[in-house]
Amino acid sequence: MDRESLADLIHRAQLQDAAAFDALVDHFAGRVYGFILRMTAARDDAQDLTQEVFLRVVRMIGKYQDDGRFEAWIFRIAANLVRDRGRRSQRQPARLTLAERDGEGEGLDQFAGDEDAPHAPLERGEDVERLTAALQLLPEAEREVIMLRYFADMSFKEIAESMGTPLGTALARSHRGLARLRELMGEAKASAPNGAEQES
Amino acid sequence: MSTYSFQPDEHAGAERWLKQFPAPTMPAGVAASVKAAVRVELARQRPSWSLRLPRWSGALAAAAMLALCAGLVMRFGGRERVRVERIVSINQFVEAFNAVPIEDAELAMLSDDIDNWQTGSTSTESSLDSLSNSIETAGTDPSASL
Repeated sequence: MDRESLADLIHRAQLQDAAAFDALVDHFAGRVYGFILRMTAARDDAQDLTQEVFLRVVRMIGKYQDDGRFEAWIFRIAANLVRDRGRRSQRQPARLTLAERDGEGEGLDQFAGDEDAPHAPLERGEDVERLTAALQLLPEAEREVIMLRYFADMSFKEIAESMGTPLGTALARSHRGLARLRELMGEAKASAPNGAEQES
Repeated sequence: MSTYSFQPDEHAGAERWLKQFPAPTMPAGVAASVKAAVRVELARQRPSWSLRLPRWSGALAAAAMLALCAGLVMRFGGRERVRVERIVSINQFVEAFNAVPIEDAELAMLSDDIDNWQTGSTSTESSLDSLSNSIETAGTDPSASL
């Protein structure tokens, strides 16, 4: 979607045009869902929070001033909701760990969601499951930076502003988190097909 | 204590490595349920939305106040002008009245009547004097009759 089309959609949504909201859901909901699922590793939470993100968009879009970063705005809402959910539950949002996967495996079967996404072969892939589980082992702040980069393509400056941290902190979190993630994924032996270098 | 140095190329490589993993696929029903929830929320907000004043309502209210003030000033200012004009008109009338010579026929007759009245009064007085003299004369001459 080009910038003009998105600006038009936003304008119509600000006028409470239901069709415009439908289009925004079609365009963003998949990535918002993916971001929340990667953050929480809980399909139910991902569905609930994805819905809540768009309800907040409905409530707040009247105050949104289009600066060409609607995507960052909507993912900030999602990140705040995930954080709030984590604080409210007084526990780690992660429900799955590598240990669980290596043990019974029941949790990962549930996470794979075959019933809901039967045509997502890559989603059922072992590496994807391991990635999801590995992400849950990272500190939440590191996971959030990495996932905002991945799903929202936000700049580090935007991420730092969104999280209320200095730019250097956001960079460090991303660097540490990715290094740890690759370590957890056994990237040392797998090596990156795209030429990603092994952490020293 | 471990330290690390941030290498942009290395970091970009790590991000590219992560990108090779596909994003989770959203179940088909989620988008529909989100849209339905959005419509419910829109319907819920609509009454309050319609009652909410638009952003420019403040400016509109200010403009209405200014228009009202201007109307009041024009109304009372107009009255004041008429009043001044009336005063000016009365003064002009008095000046004009004084400047105009009395040539009106009725006024002239009135003036004559006044003069005649004075004249009449004088003649009455002389008649009375004459009568008085007659009485006095009659008192001295008993044969004289009135």
